[in-house]
Amino acid sequence: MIAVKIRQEITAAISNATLYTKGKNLGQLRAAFDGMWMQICHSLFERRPTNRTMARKLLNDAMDLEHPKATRDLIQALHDALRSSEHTLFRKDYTDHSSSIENFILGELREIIRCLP
Amino acid sequence: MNLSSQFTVLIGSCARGTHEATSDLDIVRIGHHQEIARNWLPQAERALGPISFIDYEQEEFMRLHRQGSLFLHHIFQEGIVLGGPHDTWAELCDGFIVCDDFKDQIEEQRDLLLWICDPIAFENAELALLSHTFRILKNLSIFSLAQRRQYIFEKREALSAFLPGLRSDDVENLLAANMIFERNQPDESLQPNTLEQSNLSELIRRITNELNAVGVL
Repeated sequence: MIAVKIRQEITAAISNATLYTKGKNLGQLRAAFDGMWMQICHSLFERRPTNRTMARKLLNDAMDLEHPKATRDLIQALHDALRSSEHTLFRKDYTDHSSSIENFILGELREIIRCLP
Repeated sequence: MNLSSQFTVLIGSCARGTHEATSDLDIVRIGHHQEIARNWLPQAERALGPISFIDYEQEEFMRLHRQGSLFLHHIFQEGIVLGGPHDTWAELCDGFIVCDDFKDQIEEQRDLLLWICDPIAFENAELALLSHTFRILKNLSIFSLAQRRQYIFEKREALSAFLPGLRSDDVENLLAANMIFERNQPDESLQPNTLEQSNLSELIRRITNELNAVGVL
């Protein structure tokens, strides 16, 4: 459902979350996360939302529909991650928010990987 | 800086007077302890366009001041103080010396670019690839120019100055992808077929050729 390279990057972040809160690793994780949600949306709905806001709307609408449990769990996990990412992974302010990124990696991101086939 | 000082500074295209209809209003807040009151924001954005806030804790701002941060140089060069004591701001400007070595930042952006320039891994996520590529190229350009003591912060100008061989339609397409992806702009601004794998691979090839030509790769 998602590219091997993207999955590897996210799995590496989950294995060592502290390393992925700064610098190049954080940049790669941000790109991998954006690649991942776009590929999942395309795989599930054959749609390509153009940004995170549109993706959340698509997932929100999809949650009202009937899906097999595995798909429903993935939709929920992706929706939660997209909502949370704005305040963690993509937070703009210059304060140290390493711990919130770490929590995001070990919480929301890990859950998506768990839900992926 | 007085520990009670708070500043609100307008930066970006609006401060430079180069804004367009789609430009963000970029506001730096330093030492503010309160979150932005979100209830008035939609109304303000309807009147002024998208507003983007960049918050600094005072200690972090002073740490970056001592380090000679390039972004702070940018704020001091073009910023218009909207709130806060002007005399303290003038002292901060006068006491600031911009760092003269950005090799680490250049290397970081170059490595990031090498990692992301992979259209196959980003199949069905092409807009994300282009948007991140644009942001990385912009940062790489700004840091590389600063290494030569050229301080350009306007994105198109920085890209054109650092990568003069990059086609202007490529720059416009990358910028359009970033505006669609990060700023929710409508997607008509992107040239048709840009996201097709063959066109994307060609674009990435032109970017890497140009980076080779300027000695980055």
